[in-house]
Amino acid sequence: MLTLLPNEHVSDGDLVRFLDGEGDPAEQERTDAHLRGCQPCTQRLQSLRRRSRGLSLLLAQTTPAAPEPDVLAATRTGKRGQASPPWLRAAAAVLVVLSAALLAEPVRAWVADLLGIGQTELAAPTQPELWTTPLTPSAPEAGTRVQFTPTGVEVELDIASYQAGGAIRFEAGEVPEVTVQVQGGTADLLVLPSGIRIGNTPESTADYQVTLPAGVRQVRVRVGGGAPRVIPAARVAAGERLDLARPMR
Amino acid sequence: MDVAALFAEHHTALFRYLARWTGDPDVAADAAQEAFVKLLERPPKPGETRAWLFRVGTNAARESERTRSRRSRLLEEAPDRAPMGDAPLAPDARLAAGERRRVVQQALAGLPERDRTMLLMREEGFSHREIAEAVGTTTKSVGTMIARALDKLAAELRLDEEDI
Ligand SMILES: [Zn+2]
Repeated sequence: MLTLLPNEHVSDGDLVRFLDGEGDPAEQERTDAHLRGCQPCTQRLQSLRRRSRGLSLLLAQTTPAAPEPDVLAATRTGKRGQASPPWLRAAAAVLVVLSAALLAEPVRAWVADLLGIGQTELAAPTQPELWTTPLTPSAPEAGTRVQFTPTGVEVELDIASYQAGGAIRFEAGEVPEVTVQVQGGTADLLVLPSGIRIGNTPESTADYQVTLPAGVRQVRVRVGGGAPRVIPAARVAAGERLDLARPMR
Repeated sequence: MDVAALFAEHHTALFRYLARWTGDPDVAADAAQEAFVKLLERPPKPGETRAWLFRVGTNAARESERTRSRRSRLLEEAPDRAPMGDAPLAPDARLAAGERRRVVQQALAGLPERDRTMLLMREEGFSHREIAEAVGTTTKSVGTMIARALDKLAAELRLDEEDI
């Protein structure tokens, strides 16, 4: 485009292309050459530039802030059915706690949709920083399963404390997920981009089964803020088990 | 597909674009959500994700009944083709933020959908080729149409004033 006769001006369309850096260097150079010698085209270019900037500025001043983008990994939760292993088939009471960014309405709606639960169940924040979702407590046959999407080759598993009883078991599988079985006390579960945080108490008794896909090379487990234990993929695949019962003094 | 990473990368811009496009943050949030859910269901080819999300989000917003009702309400509120520079409507610094937002939304709502889409996609840094594909025109004609749309908005939003 743009083969100008000596007395032909640059079209509006080509001025916008020039402004936006469209076209090859030759086109840009031809427009530039014309503009250097043409006052009307230069003025029109300035007008289009001023209007573009003015619109950008107005839009920036009047657009509502976007919700926090930085969550999330949770994709689906569900109850295990009859096929669950025996250790999953006792009373379950679990809180799933998702991060503060989920307070943002669209993110919450999205998560609610993906979790397959009503948005009202996710709605009311109970604390300024976190909000909790009590899932159906005490379904006798069920554990609570939360799927997540690891965002790296390492998954962090941060457990608040040792417990009265229970363990973590690892397994390899297609779908990354945690299945929680609480027999006593309470625990909550926070899904973060880097992994999972389990908010248990020393009085609780709960088992956690953690399923990790092949892409995850290792899990870094911390209990009670102690030194992390690194579990490589091979030991995950071999069904590594970590006892969460309080260590003997 | 790393959904969390894609969400982190694209959600802010998609929401911003849709909020401007619809004039309604709630509709924008719903449409953005729908786009991401569809992304999980039917992922586009790598490299096309961004344009794909904006296209699907725009379609979702268009289909929203709420968008339509809001748009018609905004148009009803519009002045009888305000004379140029009509002081109470100009989005200058004296106007409260809410009023300024309303004026900008009203001006955008008054544009044909295609013009609005083009201006707002340009605002997000899409190339003329991507814009052309989104609205169904040729790459070459995008510049002309953008110039015309800017001219339409100029008087209504006082875009020619130095100190907006
Ligand atoms: Zn000229």
